[in-house]
Amino acid sequence: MSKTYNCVSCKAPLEENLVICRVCQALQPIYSEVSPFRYFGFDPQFDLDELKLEREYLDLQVVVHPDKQAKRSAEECEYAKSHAIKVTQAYETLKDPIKRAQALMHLKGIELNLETHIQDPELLQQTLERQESLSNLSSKAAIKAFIDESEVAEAIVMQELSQAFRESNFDAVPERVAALRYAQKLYRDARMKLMHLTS
Amino acid sequence: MTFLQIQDPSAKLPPQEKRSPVIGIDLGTTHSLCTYVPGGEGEAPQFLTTPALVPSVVAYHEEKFLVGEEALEAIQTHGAPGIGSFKRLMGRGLHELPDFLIQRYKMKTSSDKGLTLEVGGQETTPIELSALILKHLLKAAQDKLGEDVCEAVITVPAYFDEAARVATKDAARLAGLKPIRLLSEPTAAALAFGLETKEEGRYGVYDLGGGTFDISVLNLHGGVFRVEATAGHVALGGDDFDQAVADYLRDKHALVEITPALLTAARSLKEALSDKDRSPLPYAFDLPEGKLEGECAIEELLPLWAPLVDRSLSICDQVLFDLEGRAADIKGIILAGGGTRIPYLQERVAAHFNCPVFHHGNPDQLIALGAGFQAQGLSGEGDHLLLDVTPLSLGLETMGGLADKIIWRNSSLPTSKTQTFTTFQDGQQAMLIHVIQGEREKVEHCRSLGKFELSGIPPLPAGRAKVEVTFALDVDGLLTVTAQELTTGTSQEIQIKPSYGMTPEKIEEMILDSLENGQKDMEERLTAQAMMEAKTLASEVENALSQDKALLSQEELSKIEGALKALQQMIQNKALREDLSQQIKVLGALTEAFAEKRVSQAVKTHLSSGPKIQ
Repeated sequence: MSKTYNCVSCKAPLEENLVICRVCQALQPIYSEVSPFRYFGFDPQFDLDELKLEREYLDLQVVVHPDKQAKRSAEECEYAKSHAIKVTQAYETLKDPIKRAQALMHLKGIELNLETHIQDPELLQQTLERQESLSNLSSKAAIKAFIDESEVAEAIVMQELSQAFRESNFDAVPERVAALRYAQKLYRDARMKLMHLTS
Repeated sequence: MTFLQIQDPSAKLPPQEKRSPVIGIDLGTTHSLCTYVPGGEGEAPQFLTTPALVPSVVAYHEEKFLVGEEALEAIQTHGAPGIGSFKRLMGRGLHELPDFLIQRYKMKTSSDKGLTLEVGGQETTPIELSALILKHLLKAAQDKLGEDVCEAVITVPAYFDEAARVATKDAARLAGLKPIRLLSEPTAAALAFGLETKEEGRYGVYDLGGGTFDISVLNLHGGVFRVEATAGHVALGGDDFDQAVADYLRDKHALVEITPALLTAARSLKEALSDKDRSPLPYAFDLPEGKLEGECAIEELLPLWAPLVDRSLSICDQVLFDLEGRAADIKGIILAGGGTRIPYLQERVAAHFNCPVFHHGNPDQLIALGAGFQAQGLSGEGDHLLLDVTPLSLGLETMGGLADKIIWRNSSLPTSKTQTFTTFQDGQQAMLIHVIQGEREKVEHCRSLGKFELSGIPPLPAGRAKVEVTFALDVDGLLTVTAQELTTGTSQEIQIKPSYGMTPEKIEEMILDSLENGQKDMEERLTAQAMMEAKTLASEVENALSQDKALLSQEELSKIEGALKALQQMIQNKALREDLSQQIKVLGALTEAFAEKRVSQAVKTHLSSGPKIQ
């Protein structure tokens, strides 16, 4: 189904990431068309092993970081330079659930607009009420409780989004992503409010 | 066609290209030092300065600039004019500085040198002053290592902005050093801590230097040191704690003002009280303003220090905010910088983060040590890797003077981000790209890094043209901004150099001067100065004699005339600088009484002639 890539040097198939050949350690050229999932050697799915992502990111940085190129050829240095930026970009896309959802939808041929609002009137009403109640809170304890609730709410939306992807229910994705954006903003606003209250 | 290279086996092999040692420098607000970490395994890091800490002080005494201990001594024993803490001026503009400083150092803005100030009547800049310190360190390093040194890793506060970083690089180049990397101070401290202790996990670094405060959180894992968040303040440091103690002494002893001598006394009192068991502590200081004797209990100082500690901790909260859930995993706080010796501060930090604090025996040396390790790493030795972040967001000015961030603070370096903008007027054919740095929403509260215009946009209805702006930030924090109009492909690219500080041409000129001419140049400059001084004095004396000869006795007159003639002859013969200076002193001394008589006579005439209207 997906295209296979081979090492530029030893021709071995690249089964993991597209940065370095794990057989002969040669740096690979940049394939601009590949998704961040393929680039890191991950399956194109929403659920992701965060620890594995962190580990892979650091391992790849050790390979491509500009400070680690003392013993490379000029050509490889050029590859490394582009990889250094691309590794971070791909990592950031994979790590952020919203960007990750957007990248997955892109693979399905659907462009996700991140500016859209929640469509379901009931959910929208609920969210606005939550925002309103945060602005009325003034005690630290109350804001802390609100933060805990928001964290749970965000986790629930994440679950729903993950489920939509697992069930290939792509029509549900835009609404879930919008809800996640609102939930994240609420959580962030509450934490910001607490910080300003404390300091 | 290929020839085999034939070598005479008895001849010496051509010397392998050996890189000269790369040193690590902590260029601090109150003191500086440098280190070297040899490449070989198990070789101990070396401190290259003796004594280890060089005061970051410059004085002007006997027609030359002195640095470090020499400068301090000249200031203390000869009352020579001098300056310290000039790191706080790096990359600053006149409008950012308090009036008293501007007046004290006669600060001005010049078109090619940026902020200038006067030390002992000599015009200089914060960059040149820093270069003097760096030159001093470089010489110490070369003497100690017995080798030529030309490259260095230099530490800067994590929260230094672009202008201050560029100023630091300029200072290094002026001192004849290639700054191969500017390293954030807290990152350096974490590197030294991690490599020495082999600890792994998430650690905070609370770094209170003489004049700057930084907080960074790093994750240390398998030789990779990854900065996760950083924040700070460029004008909060140990100096402020000294100032608080000086305030206390001033109030207690009913003194009028805080003098440098009082500040020194305050600092030593602070240091003595940092030893818990010594409170209350009797003190006795013999200062120009009188003898200060008394007793100080640490409890008296805490209310003065508390607001400073509070300020630093609220900055820490910003980092905890940025870390989100990861904040709970902080295993400990590494203390760096001399300012962290205060036990009260250590307790507050531990309580705030709710985790143990790690205190290096020499917190002043930790940062320089880290710089040494990074220098080793960048020489291709060592197997650690540092992943640093940009401390301040970078963005563009958009409609209504708003700042639109493109690269957010705490982004890993290197990085590149692209954003699309559009026109806001029908037929708009050019777009001003104004690059800014800072966290605030309004452009006027951020720092302007540069402006350029993208022209050649096809005339389209408002909102139709698409301009793609890419910000690329390399590991050195060097920013390249590219703007491209998508329908025509018109593109423009600039490397951002902040509009503060010295022009690149001026820096080049000064480097060439100092490299090519070195000592000779200095000597020539001083001779030229002495010559100018001699000429001025001679003409002044000549002029005065022609008017007020009558005020002098015959003996006085002949002495002055003799000395004047001698000086004029020296000017004509282009005498050596030492001789000129000597004769200037002689004539100056002889005419001192004469000048006074002239002044008092002028006052008399002035008074007797009644008020004048100009």
